[in-house]
Amino acid sequence: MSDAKRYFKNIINKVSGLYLILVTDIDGVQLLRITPDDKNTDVASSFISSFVLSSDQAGKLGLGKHKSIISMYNNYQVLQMNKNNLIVTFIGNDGNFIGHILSIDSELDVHLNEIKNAVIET
Amino acid sequence: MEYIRNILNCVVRSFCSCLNCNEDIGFQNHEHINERTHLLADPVNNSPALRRTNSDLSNNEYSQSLPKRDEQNALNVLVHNTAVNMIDVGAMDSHHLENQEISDRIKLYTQRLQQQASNTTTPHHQNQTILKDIPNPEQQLAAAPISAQDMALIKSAIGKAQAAIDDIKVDHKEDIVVPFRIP
Repeated sequence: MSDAKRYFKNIINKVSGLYLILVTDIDGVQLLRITPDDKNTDVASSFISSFVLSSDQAGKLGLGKHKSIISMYNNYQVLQMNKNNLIVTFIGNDGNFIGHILSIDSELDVHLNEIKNAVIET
Repeated sequence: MEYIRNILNCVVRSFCSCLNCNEDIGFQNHEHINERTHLLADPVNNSPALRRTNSDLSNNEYSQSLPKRDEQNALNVLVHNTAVNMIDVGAMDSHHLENQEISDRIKLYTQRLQQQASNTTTPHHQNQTILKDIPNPEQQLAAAPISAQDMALIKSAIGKAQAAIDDIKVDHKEDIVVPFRIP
């Protein structure tokens, strides 16, 4: 298991309420998919890739350039972060996992560098 | 009379200053419009350095094609800026990858990640959490505290148990050595 995968696995086991962590490229193609207990939870790649587009368009609407979007649904919360060439998506219940994740934002960068190289080479 | 003359002077002075002011503004506006009117301004052509090179160059073709190319560049920049600034929600649907491409890329990425994992022997980070044997410490820590009544009960029970343990004594009744009755 790579270092990054181990790190994200650690996060999903520690932070209660997290269902899924996805690391994808900007088109929504998965590089890492981490679930607790290796369940088959998944998300359509179009959902992930639309983050980049909606982030761009929302920026033009007047929000300005931003790094992450938090979407809150009835039973779910989705936190998507833009890390240069990668999108990191956290999906969880309606609890308070978002604060946990945002507090380790800078820590994520260190572990994502390893994966980043796989995408930049394309 | 003196008073009226003073007022007149004042009015005339302010009118004059107003005229000057208007002239200034007009002049500024005029200059401003001049700057703005040249949408496809050609700063490269106007720069003294380039003028010198143009005069140095005897090639007429080059000097004629240069403004055209700049115009084209400026037009491209305009088109690009417009495309960047336009909010086009309709284009969001069209940007989907084919399933085949997605699976190809997933394969490529997993291959690369495996390569990287095998190439780099990263030192294993030690787990530095204090409560590492509790998976969700915040749940345990955030639980409601025990009630005062229960606390008192536990304390009194422990106190009684302690007193009882202290009170344990050996009651000597008979000899410890037991004679075996060997038949």
